[in-house]
Amino acid sequence: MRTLEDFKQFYTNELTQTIEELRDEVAQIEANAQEKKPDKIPFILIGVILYIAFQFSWIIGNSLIGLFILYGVTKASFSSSEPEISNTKQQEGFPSTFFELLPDLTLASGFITLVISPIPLIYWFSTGVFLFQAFIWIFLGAFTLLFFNGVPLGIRQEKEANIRKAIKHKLLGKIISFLGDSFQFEPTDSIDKDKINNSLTFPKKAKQLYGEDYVQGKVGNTDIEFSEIIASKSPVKKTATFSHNKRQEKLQQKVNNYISGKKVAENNSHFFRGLYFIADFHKNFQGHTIVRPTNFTWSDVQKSKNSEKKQASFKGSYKPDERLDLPYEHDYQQELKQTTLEDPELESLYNIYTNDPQQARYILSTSTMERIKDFHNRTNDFHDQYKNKVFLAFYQSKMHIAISYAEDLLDPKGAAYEHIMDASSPEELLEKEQLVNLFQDLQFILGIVEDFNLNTRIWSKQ
Amino acid sequence: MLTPLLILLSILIITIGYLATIYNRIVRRENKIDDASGSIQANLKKRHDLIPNLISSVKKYMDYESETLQQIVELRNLAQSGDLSQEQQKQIESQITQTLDKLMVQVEDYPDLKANENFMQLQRSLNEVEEQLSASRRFFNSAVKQYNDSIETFPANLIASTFDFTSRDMFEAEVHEHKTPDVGEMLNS
Repeated sequence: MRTLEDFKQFYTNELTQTIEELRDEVAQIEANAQEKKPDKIPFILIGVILYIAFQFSWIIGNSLIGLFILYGVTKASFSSSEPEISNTKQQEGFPSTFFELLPDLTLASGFITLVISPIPLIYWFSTGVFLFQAFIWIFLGAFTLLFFNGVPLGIRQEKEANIRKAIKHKLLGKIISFLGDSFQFEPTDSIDKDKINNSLTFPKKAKQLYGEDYVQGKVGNTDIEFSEIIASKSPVKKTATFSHNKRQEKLQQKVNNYISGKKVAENNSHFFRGLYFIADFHKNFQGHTIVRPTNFTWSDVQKSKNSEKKQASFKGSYKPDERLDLPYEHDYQQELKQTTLEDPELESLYNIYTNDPQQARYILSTSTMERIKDFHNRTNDFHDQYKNKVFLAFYQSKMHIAISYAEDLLDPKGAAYEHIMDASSPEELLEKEQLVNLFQDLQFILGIVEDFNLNTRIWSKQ
Repeated sequence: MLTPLLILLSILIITIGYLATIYNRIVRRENKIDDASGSIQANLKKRHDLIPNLISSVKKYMDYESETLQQIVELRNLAQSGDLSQEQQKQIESQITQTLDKLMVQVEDYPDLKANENFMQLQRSLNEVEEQLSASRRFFNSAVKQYNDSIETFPANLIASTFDFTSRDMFEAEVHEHKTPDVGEMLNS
């Protein structure tokens, strides 16, 4: 296993070069995004013209929007006195040009219009006077702005997505290949949905699976694969008006959104988010054995999150009281029954289901049970703010491990991309620990093989 | 006149039904012990089958330890002879485990043997059988525990004493079983 010292060495030798290349690439993406913007100005103009018309029609809207646009333009002209952004370092921070500001401006004014649009309605009901003109113009204005602001906003999101993608492909790919020659990295791929469903790791079947950062390879003698996943229990809605291709496109768009860091339209149907890891188990075995956390609800994950803001955005995703530790219908179909092992501590943390109690004991030997407990503690120590839950399944001589995370694991968080691009010297970047964290995350994942002693091949499986 | 009779009859039926359920549960758990015991026997048989191969591949290299080899062969023959009480069988199997452990330690002094492909394969199989054996013993113990619990609690204990269900003994953990991982380390080194 490579150590942190090795990594630092590798960083100074090779990664610095990669980061230089990335800077050029990001500069190119920036330039492309800049080129795209002017084409979209007419759409914005239509919005603005409609606004002016609307101002004539109603006095309240006039004053509010007028003030807002005045405020926005003042701010924009103040910022645009700075030199044009041409270098790569200035991005993703506070918008500094009028173009950068436009999306926010139009979006915000659109929302304000939506908020004030019921006012003529209230006026109509309370006084009986129907201000037809105001009514029409407010809705028209709101609709136009909300519709057209998507265009510049889309350009910015596309740019950010492209930057993230470029960094991820290159940087993560490079670090992964440093960890082992055998590893293949597919940033947009995922573990096969059927593998996950057949293993019954989760009590629910994933009808829809979003995934990224798929890695496949060998650690010592052990074949492994892993990826980050979001498992959802309801399929994509089939709309009759969509042709098959359109549906596919929409689905692809959703996946792309997720990969590029945009929010996936989250709903109650997501039941698992985290890392999914499959390794060849060191013993051949029959039957099907599952180890699932006791008393597990998604609210555990939510409660453990440290940031209030993130918590708010996460709340919509899962039903707080949804129990995932209970056996579900398809467990009974597979004749999986709960079994009791000799370890009370493990019993208090996990429920064990199996269709072959003797094989369950063969797999979960005394030492493996100890290892599961150790791994449980280590997982929670590693990212101690999350209280991650671990699911295990042993099926077809493979070991499946799912670890719940409230956010992306193999993703430099938040401003990390800026840090990576901004760091003036390699040493500075290492100090900021963004890359080191990335490396440690990967080390933790690959360490699962050692944690479960999977490279010890003293049984007939080689 | 009819009503009290009906009430009595239904109480009787319910009681009999309840007792039958308890009885069936005890029988099911007893059968589970037999299953577990069968699986132990199957694994012991596997181990017995492995021993002749192991001896023949080891013999070429290890003349000095022929005493150990002889001992294993004798114990194995004794175990397969069939006319043994359960207690005797347990003792013999325990001795086989100990002697095999001893043999594996002695193998350390023979690098040629350790590197022998055939021997390595046998050693892997042996490890697997030992592990399966340990798993089936644990399963046996948990089956015995469930069964004993069910015949010692009220009211099942009344049924148990009526139908002569007696509590069973568990396998006691054998100290030398803990040595098994050493074999793995030997192989790795």
